[in-house]
Amino acid sequence: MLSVTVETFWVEISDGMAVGGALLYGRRFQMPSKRHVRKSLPLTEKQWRDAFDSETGRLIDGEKLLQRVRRGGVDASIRAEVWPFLLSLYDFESTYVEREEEKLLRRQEYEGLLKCCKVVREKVASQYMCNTDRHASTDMPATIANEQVHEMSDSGVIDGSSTSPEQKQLASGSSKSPFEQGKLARWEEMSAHMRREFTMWHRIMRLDAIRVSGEWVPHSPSQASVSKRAANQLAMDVGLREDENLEPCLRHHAARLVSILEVYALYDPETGYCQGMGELLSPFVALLDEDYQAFWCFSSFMNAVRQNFRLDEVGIQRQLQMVSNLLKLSDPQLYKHLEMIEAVDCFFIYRMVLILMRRELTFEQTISFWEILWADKTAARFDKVKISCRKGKRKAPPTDDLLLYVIAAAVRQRRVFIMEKCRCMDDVLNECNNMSGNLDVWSLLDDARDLVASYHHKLVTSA
Amino acid sequence: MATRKRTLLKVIILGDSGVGKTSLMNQFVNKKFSNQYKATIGADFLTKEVQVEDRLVTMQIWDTAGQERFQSLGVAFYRGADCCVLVYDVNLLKSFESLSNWRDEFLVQASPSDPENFPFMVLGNKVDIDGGNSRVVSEKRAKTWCASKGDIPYFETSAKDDLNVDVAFQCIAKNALKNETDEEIYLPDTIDFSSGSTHTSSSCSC
Repeated sequence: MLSVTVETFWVEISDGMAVGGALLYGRRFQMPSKRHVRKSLPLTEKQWRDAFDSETGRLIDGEKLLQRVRRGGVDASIRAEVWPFLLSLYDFESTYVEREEEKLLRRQEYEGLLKCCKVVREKVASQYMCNTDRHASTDMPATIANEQVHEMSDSGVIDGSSTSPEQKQLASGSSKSPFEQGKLARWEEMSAHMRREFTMWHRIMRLDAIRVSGEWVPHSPSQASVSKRAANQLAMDVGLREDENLEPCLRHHAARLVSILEVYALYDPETGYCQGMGELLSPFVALLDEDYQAFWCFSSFMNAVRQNFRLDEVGIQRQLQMVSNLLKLSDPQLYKHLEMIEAVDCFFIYRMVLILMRRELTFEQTISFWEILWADKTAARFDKVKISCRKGKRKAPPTDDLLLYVIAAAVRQRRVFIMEKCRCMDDVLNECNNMSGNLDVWSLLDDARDLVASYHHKLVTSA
Repeated sequence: MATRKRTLLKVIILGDSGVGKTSLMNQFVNKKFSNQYKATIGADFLTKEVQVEDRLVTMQIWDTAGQERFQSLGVAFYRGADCCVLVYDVNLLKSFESLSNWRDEFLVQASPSDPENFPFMVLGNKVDIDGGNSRVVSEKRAKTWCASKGDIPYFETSAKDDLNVDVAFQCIAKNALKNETDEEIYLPDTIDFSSGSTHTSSSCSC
């Protein structure tokens, strides 16, 4: 048995890295806190404006633009314009006119969904009233809700017949929309299970919305200054309770979250509402003033993220497994320790995966990070070969799984602590949960790209 | 090598979303209350040293996500639990009705060696709301349920007003102690490289 002091441990670790060679980038993990990397500036407003053909409004060099975003994210002033491209709502080849048409259709479709949603909300509220002895001040009487269902049904809204085929085609994933499939044509025709689900979502999403952090406020002056009256009105419209003590801007934000989350639950009932989704939506609501914009950007974001919320947990398990594999490949010593303490299933990174580091990073860091994730995904789809194989210096190719490389990098930045102090999975979980607010996203991205360059190929082939 | 014996009690808090699990834990451990605790994602825990009769024990209190959807995570986090605290909101019937489900789910996932005698505790939280006027589950009804499940101890609490929180957790520690096994807590001031030589199955309850 070999026991050494903590001091010697450091030497052993660095020697181990140097000799082993597997930890190519290991040395930098020794003093992560002192390293602050900000490699590139974000895509600026000028670069963005100059990137379009003045006549057609078509992007001239979308790939170059993506590379800029992959490095540094997007300047705050142009986020609302750039996000629909990064989230594949707009085609990179589209013209100005085409985008305007699409915008209009998306707005109309959102309004249609919203109308249906209000009916369901009222039905849930009246059911809630019947099932409890609580005061009914914010609940709508069942009769009124019934009348509205019939009224809307007559106007063709509720069975989706007002939605044009073009709209259906445009809405990515709109085949999931229950209204279009006629599955939820009427509340009365919903299965008992579905009604229970909606009733539960209805409660939890309100509960979560009023406790979403106000970190966004300094980043959104227009929404920060919303009037008390407007906030009250919207909060009443969506039936928020227990939110009277919130600042008007937070109350307004919570109400918008509820409204959009309800629409999303109808749009994608398989996912419905899961805790954590409110926090994922919050940045979209904070930075996009129009609900329909926030909804479609969020929906597009959820196309990839909804796997995290699957009941069978296949999506989340795949990702935990991948981080585990990545640690095994990139840091055998750390992996061996995790094995010893029965933590290789990586449950300690569950939260980081589920809500994409939202709790671990600050608001501003999260936004830049997500933009970089989206740009990587889009770039990966665009042209894998051209970007990845540049002669000479090894470059990190764009990947769909950048998040997982970043998480592995975050765990590796704590490798010494984990190996030295963590004696069971609980300790590692505690350490990971305590990362909140103490991470430098740029150094993580830098480390993650090193991991991508070294192990992407191996992980892809072994998967 | 420095090791010493200390008693570690692993306590799991379960219950529907928004019943106040995080608030109860924070009130007990940090003596703080906030309306603004974010929803718990996955699981988190806090520890606190408590004196139970003549023994000093470390309570490791696990706070979990309340949405049913995340219940399968339990397997990872419930293992080695010494006590399970079931929380409901006295103003919300559904959260009371869910207690059976939470209890059953815990027994399936944690698979304690003696499920019949595994220590549970029920807390009816948020008794402060509206001066008690909005409560929908009476103390009598809750106690009847607890009695039917093998005399589970029951407390009515308010994490907000710090009502009964300490008393309840003291009782939890006492009951958990009946079920505990001595854990050997390894407090390293040296590092061991030989794989597994200091790690024994009893070094940690997880």
